[in-house]
Amino acid sequence: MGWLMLAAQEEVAIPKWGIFVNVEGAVSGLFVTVLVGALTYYWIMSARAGRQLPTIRRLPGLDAIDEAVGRATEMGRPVMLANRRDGLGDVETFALWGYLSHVAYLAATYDTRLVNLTGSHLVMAVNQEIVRQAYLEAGRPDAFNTDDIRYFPSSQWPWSSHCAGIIQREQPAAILWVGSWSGEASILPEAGASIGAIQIAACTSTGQLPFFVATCDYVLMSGEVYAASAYLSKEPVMVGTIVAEDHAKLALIIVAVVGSLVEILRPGTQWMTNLLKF
Amino acid sequence: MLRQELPAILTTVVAIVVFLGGILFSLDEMNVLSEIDSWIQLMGNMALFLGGINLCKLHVNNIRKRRQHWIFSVWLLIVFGFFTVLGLAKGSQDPLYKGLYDALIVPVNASMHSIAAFFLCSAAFRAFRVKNLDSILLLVSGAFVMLASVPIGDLISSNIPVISDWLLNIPGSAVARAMSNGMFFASFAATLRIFLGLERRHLS
Repeated sequence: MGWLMLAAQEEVAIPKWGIFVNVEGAVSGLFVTVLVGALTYYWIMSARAGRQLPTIRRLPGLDAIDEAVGRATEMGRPVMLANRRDGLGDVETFALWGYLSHVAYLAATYDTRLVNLTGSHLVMAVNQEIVRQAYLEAGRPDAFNTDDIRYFPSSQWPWSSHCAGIIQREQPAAILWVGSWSGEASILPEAGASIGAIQIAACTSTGQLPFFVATCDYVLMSGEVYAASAYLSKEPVMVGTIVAEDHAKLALIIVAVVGSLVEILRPGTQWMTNLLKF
Repeated sequence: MLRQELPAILTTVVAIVVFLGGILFSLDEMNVLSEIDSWIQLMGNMALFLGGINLCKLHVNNIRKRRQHWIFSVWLLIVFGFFTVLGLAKGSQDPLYKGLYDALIVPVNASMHSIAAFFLCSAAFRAFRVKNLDSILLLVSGAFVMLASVPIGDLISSNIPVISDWLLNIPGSAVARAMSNGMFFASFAATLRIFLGLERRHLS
């Protein structure tokens, strides 16, 4: 009997507007996706048509990468780029590859060693190819060393002690911490600070940001982390996607203000919340 | 064409299927995600060998070239080999395998975690040095939050936990939410770059 009642309840969940699955945010999610997609398409087309794009503000953390690699070159010490948690399908990993290819290109150009640490064997395989390609583009394929692109299983504390050991042994002059991090964020940058390395963090974990802020020279946070590949490439089409993203943020601010005003004027209606949940 | 265009086209097609599947149909009925998951698992298992080989190659090189601390590489290879053989022979649920893991890894992990407090102290010492208005604000709010976390804070003044709660729940929460929203749109734009084939570094 209970089974029959459950089956009847399942049948009651009719699709929204006849076609959308009856889950929270299905229609509003599609609307937001189409809106951001249309904005991105518009700005990409504008860039391709040669129209002037709005200027993107400078990101000191990204500008400091060149300075950090240059400093490592002067000191004759390696540059290290580390990421522990992110796997092949994570969007943070795609952001990481933007940093990695840029740093690898600079390292190859300046003839400086690059040590890359990752906690994913899949990511390591891709990292090797990206660094190899960057060395090739810089005209230094002979300088590429596969052993410098390293994998260590991503268990939090073993990985952290491995990473801290490498910092002590190889004494990198510049360290980049990219991606999402957990409690090891309280230890690793401090290990880097103890050897006087210039440190740049691009962290997507909001809870770990204070540790990076306390220990690193530059910290990229929130959306800045993902903007790296577009910002560093300076390609107008890529920059167009950042402009679209900023317009979407502006739309979000308008939604938040309108929602707050409605809630102040007519308390308890939760009009905007219900709209976004639809 | 095969190296760059085909993976980019496949990415776009799969992204559209998964996205529309989430909105228009029940993904459980379609069984698409579980199929994709099994492909990812298969790829992952194949790449695990690559990772293992890379790890062994690196440490064999350390031993061969007698690099600094090469003895730890010997230890790593012994443990790596022992646990691989034991795991393959007895399985990961074997009492010996689990017992060794719990007796070795768990206490070492706990020790590593416990030293975080010392690293935090030295980091806090640098971060709390008063240099400008920002660092004064950081010092004052940090002091309230830290005092509220220990019993003496409440003894000094019952207002300290109230101030700490306000700092965490009102300005702290507002900033965290703003950052989360920024991160959402930025990751969304980054995902679109991948789906549209603009981001191709991984296909190099």
